[in-house]
Amino acid sequence: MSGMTQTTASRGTTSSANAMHLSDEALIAQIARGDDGALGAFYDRFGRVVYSLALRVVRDTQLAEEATQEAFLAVWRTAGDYRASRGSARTWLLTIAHRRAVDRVRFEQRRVVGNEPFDEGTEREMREFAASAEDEAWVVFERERLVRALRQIPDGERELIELAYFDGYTQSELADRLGLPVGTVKRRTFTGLARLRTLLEAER
Amino acid sequence: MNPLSDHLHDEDLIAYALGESDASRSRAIDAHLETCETCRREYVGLLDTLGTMAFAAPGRVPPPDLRSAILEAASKEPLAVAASDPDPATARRRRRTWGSLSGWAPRIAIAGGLAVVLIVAILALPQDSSSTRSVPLVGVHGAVVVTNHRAVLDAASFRPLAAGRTYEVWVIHAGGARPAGLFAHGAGNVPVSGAVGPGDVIAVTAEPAGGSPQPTTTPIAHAQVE
Ligand SMILES: [Zn+2]
Repeated sequence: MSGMTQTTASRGTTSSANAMHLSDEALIAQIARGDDGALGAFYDRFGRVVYSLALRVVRDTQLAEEATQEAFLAVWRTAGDYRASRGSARTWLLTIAHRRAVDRVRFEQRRVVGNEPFDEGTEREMREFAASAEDEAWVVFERERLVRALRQIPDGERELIELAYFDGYTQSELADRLGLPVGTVKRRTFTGLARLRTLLEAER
Repeated sequence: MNPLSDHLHDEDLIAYALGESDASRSRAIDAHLETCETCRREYVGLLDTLGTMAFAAPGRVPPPDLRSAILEAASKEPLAVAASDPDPATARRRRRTWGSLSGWAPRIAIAGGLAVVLIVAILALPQDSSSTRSVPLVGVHGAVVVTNHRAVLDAASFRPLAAGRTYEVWVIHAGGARPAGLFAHGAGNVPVSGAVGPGDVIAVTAEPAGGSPQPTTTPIAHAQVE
């Protein structure tokens, strides 16, 4: 991973070079043992994804940094709680990161509706992101796979998923906002996600 | 919802996956997921799909110093309970206790505040006396063994600290905290210097190399002498 910052490899910690060969789950196991090299490696792998998610949710670079830091510190503190039976390490991280960001945006009440870029520089950073080292190819792949799948689900379902996920609306807030029974909102969100899941699996 | 018969409804799964179930509902759902493979597979698939949504966010580059800020903050964290804790539920509970302590502890006058926190623990614990006692540590897997006013700390499960940091032992009583020795990761049994008496609390913090005259961080582990 050429984008990786150098880690000072001290005794008993995972060096960047070693971390490249470890699975996400193996890194979490190392983090649970207090290996800060593994935490650094986990950040190198997912820091951009977490930060990008946080920024999309909180729409403020300072808050996004805080949410990202909180997410990785939560990983540091609770890595021993990770259970493989409840999903992959990546899903575990992204769930934590998403909750932290949503908590932030609810707390700060800075929620802004819409998908438009919120400041200048997005395009430049997107280019930087896309043009970064080969270790980010998997991110590009995931994004393309997701975008193709999202295009194939009904607008109403996709909008609900996006409002819940990126704008932090609760299901009952969405029901109020859209004038629908909350049960309908939940079912529609669930159906959309089930559809999305099938499409993503077909693309794998 | 009967955890043994009915499967979870879609509405339960989506609310739980989005973190919107209330506490009692969450416990019931969690208990069902623990025992039901069918619902667990459904839930994991849902969570995985939601997680994939993260990739729909426009790709952005975090500031370059965020990585070191995170590692720096991690090195100052009270460390998690050792993964070897036999009861994961206990481990999680303890961890949460320390998590909440670490939130407000820096805002109080350290020595006095610490004594207040630990006096609460003292009042809550039953008293017992016999010549040799082993008291489990709270915060890290391990124990304090006390014989005739002398204590030894079983420190085998303490994790490595960042460079330039050391573990420091404290004996805390109503009058304040007294330094009682330094140790490093992998130390095994650590003698607690000086006498300890009933009601004293043995606590461990991470300090700058060389130790501190008074605790400067939240205790990672503690045990009360009976
Ligand atoms: Zn079930």
